[in-house]
Amino acid sequence: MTSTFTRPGAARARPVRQLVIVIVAVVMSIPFLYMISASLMSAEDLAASPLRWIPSSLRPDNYSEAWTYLSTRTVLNTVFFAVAIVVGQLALTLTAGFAMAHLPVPGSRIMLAVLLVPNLVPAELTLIPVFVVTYKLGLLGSYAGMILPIMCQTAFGTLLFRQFFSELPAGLIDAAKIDGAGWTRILLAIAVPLAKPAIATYASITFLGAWNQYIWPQLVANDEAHRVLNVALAPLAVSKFSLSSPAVGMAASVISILPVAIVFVLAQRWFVKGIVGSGID
Amino acid sequence: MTSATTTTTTPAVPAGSPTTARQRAPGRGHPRDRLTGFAMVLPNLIGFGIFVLIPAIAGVALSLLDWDLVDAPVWVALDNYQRLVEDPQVWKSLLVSVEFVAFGVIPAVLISFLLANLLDSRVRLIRLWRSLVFLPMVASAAVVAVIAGQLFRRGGVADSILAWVGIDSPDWFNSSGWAPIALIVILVWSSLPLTTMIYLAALQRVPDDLFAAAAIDGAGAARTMWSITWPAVRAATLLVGFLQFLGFISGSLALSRILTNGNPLGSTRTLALYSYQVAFDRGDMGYASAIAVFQLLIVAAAVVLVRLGSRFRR
Repeated sequence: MTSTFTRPGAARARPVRQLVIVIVAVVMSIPFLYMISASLMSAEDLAASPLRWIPSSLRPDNYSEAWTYLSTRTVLNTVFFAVAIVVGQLALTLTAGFAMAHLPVPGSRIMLAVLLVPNLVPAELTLIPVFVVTYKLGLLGSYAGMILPIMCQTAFGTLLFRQFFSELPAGLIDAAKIDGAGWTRILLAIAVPLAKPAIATYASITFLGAWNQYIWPQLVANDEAHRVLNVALAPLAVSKFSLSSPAVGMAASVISILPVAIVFVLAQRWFVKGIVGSGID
Repeated sequence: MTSATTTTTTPAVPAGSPTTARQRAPGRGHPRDRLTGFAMVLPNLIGFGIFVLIPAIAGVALSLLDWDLVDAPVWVALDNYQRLVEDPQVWKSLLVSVEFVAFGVIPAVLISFLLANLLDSRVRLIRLWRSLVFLPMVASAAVVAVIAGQLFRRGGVADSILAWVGIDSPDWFNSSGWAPIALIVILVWSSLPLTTMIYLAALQRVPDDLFAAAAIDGAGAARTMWSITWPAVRAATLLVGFLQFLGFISGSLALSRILTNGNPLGSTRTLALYSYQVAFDRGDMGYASAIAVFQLLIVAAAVVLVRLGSRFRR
């Protein structure tokens, strides 16, 4: 059994420690627990004084009202947006990373140096110029304008996959070339399948980042046809607008967070690996 | 995205096989391969050039213009910076950024360190408890804002917890004194999953003998943590501290924009948020860029000061 964080040989901890851990975990989860509980409350329950922690009666209607407010289109937009970014980034970084590792790309040394530049410049400073570029390209208010600038943040991924592919045994690739395989085939049939763990890690983190985007999609296209979940959800933080109760806002939050929460639970291993490196397993 | 990622290792190069790809000189080789290679890199390069490289360079250039994107840009050289120095909002926002860093970074670092130590145990269902602690990292700024709006409303969870301890609670987001505090608490909470994870990974790498030796010498838990554990994860502390510093100095642009938009009275308006408002609420791209450059200089100065400070202490 592999747990990414188990220390071998550690003694079983005392019951007091166990209890403290449980308490701490629950306290950390209070915001989420309250969100779930409140999402099923009626308006009276939610506004009750003193505070109600658990609904007196369940109101699943909150969810249908939340879905109507968010709209199916928004959900689809978000899925499209996140998937497009992940797929796009993978396509760009896998291809370029592989090429830079195994092909004599002219000027690759300069390219590598250039890829490191944006790490020095913080996001706040580039937000305005990226907006200006997007505006000048006529992409404001379009899906392309929402997706492309984020999709093209390929510095990290390209370096990651270039490093990964350069560690593949060259014998593998030479054998394929002798067999007459073209580079595309080598990339798709050999290199990519070998990179599956790295791809899983990269995809998980990129998907999470894309799903949780707010500032950029909101800046480029916040009309009902293009908006993503966060853009629809954000106004509810300060006012319930036309909703029947703030509990509907809670339900909307649950809907927004559910996909990534599920992905996280299923793929926690990949997230952790991506964040702290793989020296631990 | 942290730079703490390493890639997985691959099987060893079989005996007798030619050199690994790294040792092949780029730039030489079959012309058709050069063309293919270039073609494979080209889309990436173009996209990167347009949306990353050009903006990275253009930020400073923009700050020397007066431009609202509608009319033609006007070259104003350092006028925006002059304006910046004379703008009380800038200094107030700087103060808010400093306040966030001062009250947020240290608690965030310490709490995540303690949390990681706690989670570094063999306890029943530890994977579940760890998952619960890490789960908040999937929440977007919008989700956090919506939840926080409810938690901090009159008579909400925050008020109830304080009442339970016997303290009267303020009207959080309507009070210019307490709104930043509430925002800091929320930011600390939402930053804990990531930093705890980093610390936990660092703790796992500390060799067991270190702890065993301490135990043999009779060191208690607190003493061990102070003298052994804390110094042993110094690298992680530097990383976490730096990440938290960057995170708090902007007060998370998204969260502050959604939850307070700087209100009340600019008490939650960091430099980053001010720059954003100037750019996208007022349309003053040049001035907004100047503010962003100013923030960059502040951060750079802080980093330099910290490094000088640590060098002095040796």
